[in-house]
Amino acid sequence: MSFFISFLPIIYAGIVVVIGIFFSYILSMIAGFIWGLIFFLATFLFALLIVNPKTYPWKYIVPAFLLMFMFMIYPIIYTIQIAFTNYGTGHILTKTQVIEQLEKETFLPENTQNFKYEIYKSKIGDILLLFKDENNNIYKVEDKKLIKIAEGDFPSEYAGYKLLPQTQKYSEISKLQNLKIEIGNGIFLQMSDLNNFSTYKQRYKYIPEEDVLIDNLTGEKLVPQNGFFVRPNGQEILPGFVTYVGLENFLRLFKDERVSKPFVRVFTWNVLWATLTTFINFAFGLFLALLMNDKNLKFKGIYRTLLIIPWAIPSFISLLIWVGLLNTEVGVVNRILSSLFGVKIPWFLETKWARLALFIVNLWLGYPYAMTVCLGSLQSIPEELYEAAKVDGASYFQQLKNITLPLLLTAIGPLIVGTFAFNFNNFNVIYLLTGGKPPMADVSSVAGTTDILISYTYKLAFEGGRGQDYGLAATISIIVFIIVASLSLFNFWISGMFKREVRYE
Amino acid sequence: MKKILILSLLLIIVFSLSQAAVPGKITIWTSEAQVKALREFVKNFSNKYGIPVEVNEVSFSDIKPKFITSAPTGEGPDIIVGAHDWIGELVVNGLLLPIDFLPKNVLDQFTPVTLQAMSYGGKLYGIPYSMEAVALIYNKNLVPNPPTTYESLVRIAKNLTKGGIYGFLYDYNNFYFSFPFFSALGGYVFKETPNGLDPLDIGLANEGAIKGVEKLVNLFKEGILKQGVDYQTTTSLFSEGKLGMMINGPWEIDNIKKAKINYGVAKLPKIDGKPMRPFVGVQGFMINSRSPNIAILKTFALEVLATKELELKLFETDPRILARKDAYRVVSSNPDIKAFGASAADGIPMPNIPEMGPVWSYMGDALTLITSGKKAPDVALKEAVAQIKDAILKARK
Repeated sequence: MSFFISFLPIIYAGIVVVIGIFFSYILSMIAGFIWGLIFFLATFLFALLIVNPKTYPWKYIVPAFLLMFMFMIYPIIYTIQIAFTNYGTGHILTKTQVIEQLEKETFLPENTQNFKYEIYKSKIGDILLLFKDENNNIYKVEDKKLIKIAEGDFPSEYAGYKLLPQTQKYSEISKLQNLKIEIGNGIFLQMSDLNNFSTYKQRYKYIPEEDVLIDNLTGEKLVPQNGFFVRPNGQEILPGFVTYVGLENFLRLFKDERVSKPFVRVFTWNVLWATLTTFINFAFGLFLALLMNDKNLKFKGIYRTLLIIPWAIPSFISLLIWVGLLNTEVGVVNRILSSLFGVKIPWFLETKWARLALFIVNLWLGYPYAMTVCLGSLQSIPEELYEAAKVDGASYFQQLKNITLPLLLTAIGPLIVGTFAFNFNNFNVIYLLTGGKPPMADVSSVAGTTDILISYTYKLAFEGGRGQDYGLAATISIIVFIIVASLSLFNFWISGMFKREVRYE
Repeated sequence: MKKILILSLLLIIVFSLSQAAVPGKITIWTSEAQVKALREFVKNFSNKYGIPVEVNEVSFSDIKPKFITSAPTGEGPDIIVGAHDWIGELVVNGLLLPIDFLPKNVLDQFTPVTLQAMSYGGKLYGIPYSMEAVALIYNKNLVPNPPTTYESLVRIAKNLTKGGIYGFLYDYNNFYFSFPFFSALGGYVFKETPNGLDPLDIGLANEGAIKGVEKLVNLFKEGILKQGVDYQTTTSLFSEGKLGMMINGPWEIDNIKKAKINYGVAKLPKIDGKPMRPFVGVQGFMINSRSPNIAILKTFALEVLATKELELKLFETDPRILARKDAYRVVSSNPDIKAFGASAADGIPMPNIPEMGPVWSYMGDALTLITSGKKAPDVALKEAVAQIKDAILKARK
């Protein structure tokens, strides 16, 4: 066994190299040989790090850094980059791809011709195509010209090439279907379907020196503008391409009335929501934790398990169940309320009730976390402090106020800040429970009265004008990130101040 | 050893996931319902030309997003089976091949509304295979004879609504289901022009639309529709046998059958003698513009995708209203298909242009404000239309 273990690093390195070779092969196919080589050298170096005992720690550090880069830093860089582009519906191909696609477009020249074709093969496997027009003239193509060689049926053999039997004809299709055979005057032959070739002309031609596209049909020069090739009369050619638009997305956010008008209201509710829901969850979690921590309580394990359950159910499922429970007409909650008190609460229809519903449901989703965190911290508070307090004659509430709470808050302060940031961006709860509704009646905006910044901006970017607007979405997420980061910093600063006041005496 | 096993397994998964378009082979993405029938049907073509056809199962809601991300990099399939309202977005992204190669005598075989739905900017971008539209689904035990007019709907529903039984409910805040009220008296989403739909001519706040929506509000005044009802409420009440009538589509029939409800399907009632015209959704085959197999696909489209035989084969496992007239005639003996077909015949294709995005959200909001009594129909609709226009103009810059 120990013999095997001593070989582990080498096996590990071997696997790394194998994966490296595999991916550098793929990479060199996609991105070019150089990238493949760089990737391979990098993995090879890493394999060396693993095998060498002196660089032992690197075998843990390097993958960690790599993963951090892949999953945290790269997405951030990518998001920032996208915020400066028009990436979105209508602009998802790159300029090169659009040019490639437009250059494939064809038009039929005057007197377009249709040809039947046959495939001929020489002994060494060279391929020759012969074409037959509608008047039974047989042609071959040489020096970009159609040359008539016979009339009537296709010959069974021509210049050492043998006619391919019908059964094998279609096996060569994958080679033939993208052939463009020039026959002069800018006209070429291309497969129109499995059995025919037709004459075409290329519609667009890109001139890299001038960065313009020439339309061969109209003779117009198309210039790239705002992510489209544009005709002189202003008509945009589909599809558009991704291009950098500078600060446009940011300007749009500030200039657009749909955004700036409801922004303050959405923001106020968002802060209120994040603060209150975090406070309620932790207050309730702490209350339960204090109960659970009571030495006289029996069956603690059962209670704890039961109380953790809301945490164990995926929030998607419990949220959808809550939507049903709170249904105005047929929901269980209203049925009970109406049979007991004769009232039907318009959950989700009135702003105040919708907000209350959000707080209740998020309490259900969030208290287990708060409780678990508080329980853990409570158990780490030294018992002697309470004993000393008892000796001094302190009451339960005095102990709670002077020992438990200060020590607890020091420990869980950062977690509260984290929960605040999480709730600030708690898209799931808002989107699945109320969807931001009810709508604001007095402001003409897509925003609803329970929308928070992230759900509101989701609506703006994805349900706004025309399909998906990733550029705008990225811009907004950067701004939301700045807001959350500064609020969190502020909170940390507050809790840091708090920390200094605690004295262990 | 275990590690290597897991790794090789991973590699196999990575390979099998890349169901990309390969020269000389046709790859099709379709959802579960069509996979088996399609696989069997394409064998003929494969054998005739020696060209392999691979049919991959992708869940319906994943097809469009996956296609949008994979097609630009050349990883997408040659053909997808999708809904016509994807077409606008896919076309402006440059991902669909115009279907300009099908001869007129083939196109003439299709119900015109299906071709209209599959077109964008005056060009056809998909080969229709089936369509769907909502209709009035009723519980025969509660409603022996379905209403044919709005007045009789009100009467029947009002008599039924009591003691935990509801006469008529549907997901009224969803613009899709409420559109028939807009369309009955002359409302429309976007004006039809020879070059496609005009996104700046919106008819959702014209006289007809407002009158129609007032008829919807009247259902609340009569105590028929209730606050807070949504899709889930409607379908669960219907399956429990507590709902007389609802507006819903053919996709719900399976669930109703499972719940053993004695149901019937009828056309939506007429308002002032005019039919309530539902949105028609069309499913069909779309071709990847970046496929390396265009020439093969043109033949494939003609010999396989646009045929009556394929539609009938697909009907065997997944009964739908078929898009070809000759195929529909064969299957219209099925009463459900016939009723939904009749409803679709009155319908209007759901707009397929990307500008439909803000229509869904703003009209949903407007309906919420109207049905909860916060705003009058004319005010809410006019505001919503102004907002939609504004959103469309802003997105254009």
